[in-house]
Amino acid sequence: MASAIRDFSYLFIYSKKLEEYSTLARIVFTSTLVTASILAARNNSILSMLLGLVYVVSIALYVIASFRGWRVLLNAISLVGFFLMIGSSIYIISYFMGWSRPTPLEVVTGSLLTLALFLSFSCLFQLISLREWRRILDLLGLKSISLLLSLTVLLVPTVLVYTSEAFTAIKLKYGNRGLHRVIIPLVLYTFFVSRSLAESYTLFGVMSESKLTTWKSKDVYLYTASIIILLGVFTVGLIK
Amino acid sequence: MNREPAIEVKNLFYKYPGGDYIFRGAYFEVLRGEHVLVIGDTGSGKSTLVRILSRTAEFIYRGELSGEIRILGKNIGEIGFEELQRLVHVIGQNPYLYFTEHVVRDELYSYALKIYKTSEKAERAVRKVVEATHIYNLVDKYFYELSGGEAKRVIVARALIAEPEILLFDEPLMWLDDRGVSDFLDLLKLLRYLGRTVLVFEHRFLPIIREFDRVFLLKNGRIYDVSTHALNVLKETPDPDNSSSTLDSRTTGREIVKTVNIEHGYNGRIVLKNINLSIKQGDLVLIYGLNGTGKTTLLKILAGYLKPKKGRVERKGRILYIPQNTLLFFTEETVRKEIEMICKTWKKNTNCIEKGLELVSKQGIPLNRSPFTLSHGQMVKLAIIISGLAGADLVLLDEPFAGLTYSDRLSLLEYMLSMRDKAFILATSTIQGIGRVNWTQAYKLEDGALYPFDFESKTSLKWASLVYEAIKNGVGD
Repeated sequence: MASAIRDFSYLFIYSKKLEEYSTLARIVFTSTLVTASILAARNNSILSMLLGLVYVVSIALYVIASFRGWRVLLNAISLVGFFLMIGSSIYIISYFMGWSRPTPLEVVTGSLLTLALFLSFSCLFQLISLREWRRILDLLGLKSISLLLSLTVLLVPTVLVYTSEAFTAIKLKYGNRGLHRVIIPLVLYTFFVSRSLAESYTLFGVMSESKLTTWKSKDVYLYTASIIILLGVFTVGLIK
Repeated sequence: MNREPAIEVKNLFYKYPGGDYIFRGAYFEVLRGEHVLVIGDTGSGKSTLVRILSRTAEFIYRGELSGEIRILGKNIGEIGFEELQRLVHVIGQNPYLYFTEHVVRDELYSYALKIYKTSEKAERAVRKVVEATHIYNLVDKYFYELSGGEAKRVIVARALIAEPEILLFDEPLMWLDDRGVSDFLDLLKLLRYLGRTVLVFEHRFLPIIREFDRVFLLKNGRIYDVSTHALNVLKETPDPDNSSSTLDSRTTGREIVKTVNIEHGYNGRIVLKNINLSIKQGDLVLIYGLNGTGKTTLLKILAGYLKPKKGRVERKGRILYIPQNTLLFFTEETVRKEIEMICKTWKKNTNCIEKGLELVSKQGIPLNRSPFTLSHGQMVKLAIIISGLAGADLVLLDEPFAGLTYSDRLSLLEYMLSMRDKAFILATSTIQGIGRVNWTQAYKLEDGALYPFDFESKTSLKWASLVYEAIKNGVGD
């Protein structure tokens, strides 16, 4: 669990291996992944939707694995799998309660869409650094959003580590039945952290932004990959 | 040394909104290039003074401040924030909150770029501080992969980039292991060579006290210069317990936990190997290891939170875990409700609540106060009392001494020693003051393995506590 949490947090962190590509190419590529996920979900038939999503998920998995390694990726997916399980549980509960329920194929497709969107959006942070984000948002006149984004992304790993600590302590203290109480120290801790962060930002100010680059020779690979992704999704969309 | 004042404080009064006055007419002066150590009880105002000198006490904590504060001859109110950031640098208690980038190198570079504007100058400044602070092995790591001590070294390195005139260290030794303490002493020497003015606010002052020009004591809202008195106390206080150290051979009870050839690791790196432990009722076990040696991992395996890659753990009793960040242990709005809830959860009889309230009161912990606002020492003691009420046979404590005065440490250990029907495992990264305690088992965790711990020449906690009390009682009453 602890290593899965750690690996999960890696999915929101910029990989330095990508510095050989320009900012523009990385933005185009990640935007393509997000767009492809949405396009695949809008396909008319369930089969083409399913195939489209499998295609996008496979590519997103391949991209993440090439920067983070398969082991980290699989560990992180196990946590995503936890959320997918919730979807399946809702289906099962609906079945027994007699509520209107989706078909098993729709459950699988819905779960795949969640996964595709999650992975594509995580690429926005893995392929584009925080400093680049700050620059982009500042250029768009969104200075306060840029600060909020930095803080949120920076805190993801720390919060996950403290969540794991709190779970260990509270589970042993109250047993499984009292596990919901873990939320109290975590909320309070978040409050204390927020105040300390405000103190830290007052003392040190906001860090510098990064220069945005528009072309590097290796960009060709990312642009080619973007075209292949979109072509693939369109082709699958033709299946009736 | 230039003898102009770097910091002048006159008739300082400060209180947090809704609170009592922390400072009541405090005066002090620190000269340029001087190194000053500031000691005092938990809650005496050390962190508050840091906040006052960095102005966050006014702007973040919105407290009521009066008096005169001058930094390098200028009234603090007339110094712009950017200028103050360059002049006075704070290295806070929790280093993880000071990171604004994920990777250490980016953190340093980003800050250097902000200060020096061009990438060439920024890179040069980063190289310089990395060299000066010996953090070559840390620069490519993610900040949350660093141990507390490592993170602190990085934040110190970052502070040096701006070449500030004044550096304020708020408990710099908290989370530093003994190697980290030695690195900090080297850093102080470097700062002295660079002519920087340094104020260090620290509980665990004995390993560093001789490196300072002056020692201040915070007491009853005032600041006292105790430099000569402190050195005399150090020389004159005899060690009350100078017998040679051996393990306590008291007979221990039934076995609570047994580990057989445990092995564990992350990402192909072995963190623990061949760990064989047998913990019995009445045991007080010390696990000493530098930061990042796997102490927390071992505790989590014993607690059942992590599953070892190899070997097995046999648990024959209830185990509770008190994390390094003790705040994460509590869930109720008052101390009283914590006691009531734990008794209710484990279906204890009404005596449980009465006993709990009595124990808590005996330790001087206010019953109607929120556990989240207690001092660290009080939090640890309360957590131990709760563990006892929950019927825990074994309590695992991760770095319980961090941020505690010597007297608080001694009182905590004495309290644990009084609970003979429980077993305790304490994981710590500091040797200071852990010698000559009645440990029943003591180990050093190194390279993944447990070795018998050598007590020779370790400071007695009783002596350290006596020194602190004598310094404290020498003034201000």
